[in-house]
Amino acid sequence: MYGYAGKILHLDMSSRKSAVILTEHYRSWGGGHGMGSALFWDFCKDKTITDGRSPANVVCIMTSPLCGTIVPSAGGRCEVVGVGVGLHPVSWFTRSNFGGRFSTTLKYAGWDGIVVTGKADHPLWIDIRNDEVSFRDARSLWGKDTWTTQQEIWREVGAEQGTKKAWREIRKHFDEGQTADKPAVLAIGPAGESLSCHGCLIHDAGNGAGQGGFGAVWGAKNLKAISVTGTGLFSVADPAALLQARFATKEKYATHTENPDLRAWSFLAKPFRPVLFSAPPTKNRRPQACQGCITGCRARYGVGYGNESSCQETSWYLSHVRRVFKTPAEITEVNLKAADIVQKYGFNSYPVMAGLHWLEHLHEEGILGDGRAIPSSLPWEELGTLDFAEKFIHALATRTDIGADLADGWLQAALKWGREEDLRTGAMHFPYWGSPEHGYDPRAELEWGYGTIVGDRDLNSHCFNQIFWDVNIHFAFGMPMRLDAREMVETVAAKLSPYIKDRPEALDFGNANMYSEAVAQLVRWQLHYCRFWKQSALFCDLRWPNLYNSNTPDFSGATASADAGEQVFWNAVTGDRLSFEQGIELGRRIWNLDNAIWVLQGRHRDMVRFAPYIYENRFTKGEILPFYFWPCRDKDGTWRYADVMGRAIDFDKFEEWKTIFYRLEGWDTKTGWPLRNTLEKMELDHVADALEAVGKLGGKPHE
Amino acid sequence: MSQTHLKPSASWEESRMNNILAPPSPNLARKLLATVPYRERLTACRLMEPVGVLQDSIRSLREAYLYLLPDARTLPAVHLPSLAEWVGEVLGDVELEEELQRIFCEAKSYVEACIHSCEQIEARILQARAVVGGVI
Ligand code: SF4
Repeated sequence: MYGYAGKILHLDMSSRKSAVILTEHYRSWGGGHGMGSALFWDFCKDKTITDGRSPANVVCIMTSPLCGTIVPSAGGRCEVVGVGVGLHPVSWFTRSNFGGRFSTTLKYAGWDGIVVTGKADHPLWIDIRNDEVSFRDARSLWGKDTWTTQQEIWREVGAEQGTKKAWREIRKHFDEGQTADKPAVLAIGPAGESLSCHGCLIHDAGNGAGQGGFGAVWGAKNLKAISVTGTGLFSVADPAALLQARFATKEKYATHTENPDLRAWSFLAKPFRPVLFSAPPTKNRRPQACQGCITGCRARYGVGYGNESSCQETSWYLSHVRRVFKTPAEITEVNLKAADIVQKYGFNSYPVMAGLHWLEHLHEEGILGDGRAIPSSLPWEELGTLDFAEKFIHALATRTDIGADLADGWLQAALKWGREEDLRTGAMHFPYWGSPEHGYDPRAELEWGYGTIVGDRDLNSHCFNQIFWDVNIHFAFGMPMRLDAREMVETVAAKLSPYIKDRPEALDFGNANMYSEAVAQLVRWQLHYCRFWKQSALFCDLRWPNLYNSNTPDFSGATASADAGEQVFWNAVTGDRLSFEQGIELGRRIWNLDNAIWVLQGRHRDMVRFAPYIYENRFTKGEILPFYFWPCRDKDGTWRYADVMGRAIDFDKFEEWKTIFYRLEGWDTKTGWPLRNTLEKMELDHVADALEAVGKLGGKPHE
Repeated sequence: MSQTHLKPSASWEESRMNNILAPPSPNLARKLLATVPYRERLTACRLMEPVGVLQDSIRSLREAYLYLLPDARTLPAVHLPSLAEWVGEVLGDVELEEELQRIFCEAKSYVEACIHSCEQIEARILQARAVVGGVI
């Protein structure tokens, strides 16, 4: 099997035994999320669990055939699946994803993934050196932060600091392999140990599997860390084709490095700059990336802080820091040190960004604080300082102060505190599944909001969101659009095979089209594309899909192209002859398996609803954003970029949209449960049987 | 965001010369330099492509100035008509409100309107400071 290591490692925490699963049994799922869902289905004996901290939960850490190769921005990602923690009303079977060198090292060690079941009676860490797997006592590591944990494991495994030391034999015999690499370690910190929903998984300085609460899942299993050292190889089917496609990406689709078009409309590859909100702390820095990435998005700095932090970690505290500190240097330093805090605690800062504004609101209203209705001894007057950041994250990571109430989820805390009204007024910007808004309001950016509410967690897929950025930044500066609205939708729609190829109306987010069949097809395309190409093949969300690209003469992006499309890379590595559309069909199969798990967990279409403020309040200008331009058609059919703010989601019309969506998916429109016919066509007969056995198979479609 | 986009146009420099506001009364000057209660803050955010949208708020004229100050990495996302309205209704400065409305209507782009609003707010803060003292 080209591209695969050939084995999956099963770790049973309860018995401290490991076993080998042959990858070929799961080959039809591709890799990553697909394989993880299929393994979860087989290994999880109680799929009705609604909290990932249950010992019955199964968590899978999965690679793809592309991991460890030079496929651009796909070689170094890793997918985590299992039942999550902290969502509302149910913590669904969900996913997370992280980068770095863990997945590649795992492949070099001979493993395509890891399945963790059971629960140990005391903390353990796992030491993987090629085929040799041992369960190690982690009691001395428990309580330590993620960085210290990794350093102690490196020491334990015999890795020395720096790369000047001699090559290290990882087993007794020379021909078993040598390496100068430190082991790749994935660890939890205090947040995961305390079983807080904020617990996440951290690898190296700043690669984190944030959303999903998987740190708490590991904590509940008494799993502190997994360390991997690998010296093996796996084969690529057609190395020449792989190189050719990589060169085509560089020459045709990437921004020219020597003469860059800094305002190119393409996210695939631009000149390197670290993706962080505040300015980098120093010019003395070097790029840092997931293995094989075509454009890294992180950096390591001579000043010794902020290493590998980007995006989310560098934004959770920034608006508060800016209020206290004045000089750019101070702001950067405090902001990046606040990023280091969350990395070390193994803390998912995503819910805190919106959540801290809400807590500040409660404090300013006299509700939260010392001796108040919601007691808190945190120094709220010092919000914005590094000291407050440390104390706040410590409280939330260790279940002290308000951290005790927030540990099970933000919506759970709001309900406990009697703050339901904040979901009506929108003071609490948590529109779906007890999860905060990503900045792209469901009332404006439909594919993000709709895709999330029919799914399991904040979507965090930027497939079409790139339109928001390119169009709105150009609008703000008064620059001419690189593609006018009609060119944009036609160029993108040409890529949307098999559901809506050449149907540009799917991208019309105007009021008249927002509940249409075409938008339902767009949401399906995104969900199915992501389930396979992004979350199973593990193309990076920040770079793929490449639907339009101003570096090419006709603006056509690399996605699905004959020279550098996703399927070209997949086939070069695996030797398959998979078409782009077959990849999407495989994504549909994975999505259907996930939906079956959600149904077993208790999902019904009546639960698939936004928070009340999304239906009751208009998304007004100045509520977060001043404008939100998106392609829309006028009454006469003319395309233009129009502002899609100023509206709410109509409850009844959205219910009708859900019916359309379920019908297209082949699910029962009354319940949202799958139909036997739909599952059988995807060779998921056993899933249909399991649903039928508990009375949760959908009936005939409700016309 | 390249800094080269952030230079005001020559026509703005000319129009600005004609739009120096009358100095505020001591009472108004004190309000212009104060921080408003939390409830009266103005919601705003910052954009950084492709990182995302950073939710934030503005609680004083000085914060509005800092918010709109050109920054090479991020773009302020403030609904400028709401900012003008806030200046009039919450801070009580009708003259500055009208001036900000004018800037919004006349600017060639959103970014140009931000830069011009920032400059006008800076000038107003200096006026207020000259009346009652204080630092920006
Ligand atoms: S863009 Fe960033 S997150 Fe994506 S593969 Fe490259 S380094 Fe990793």
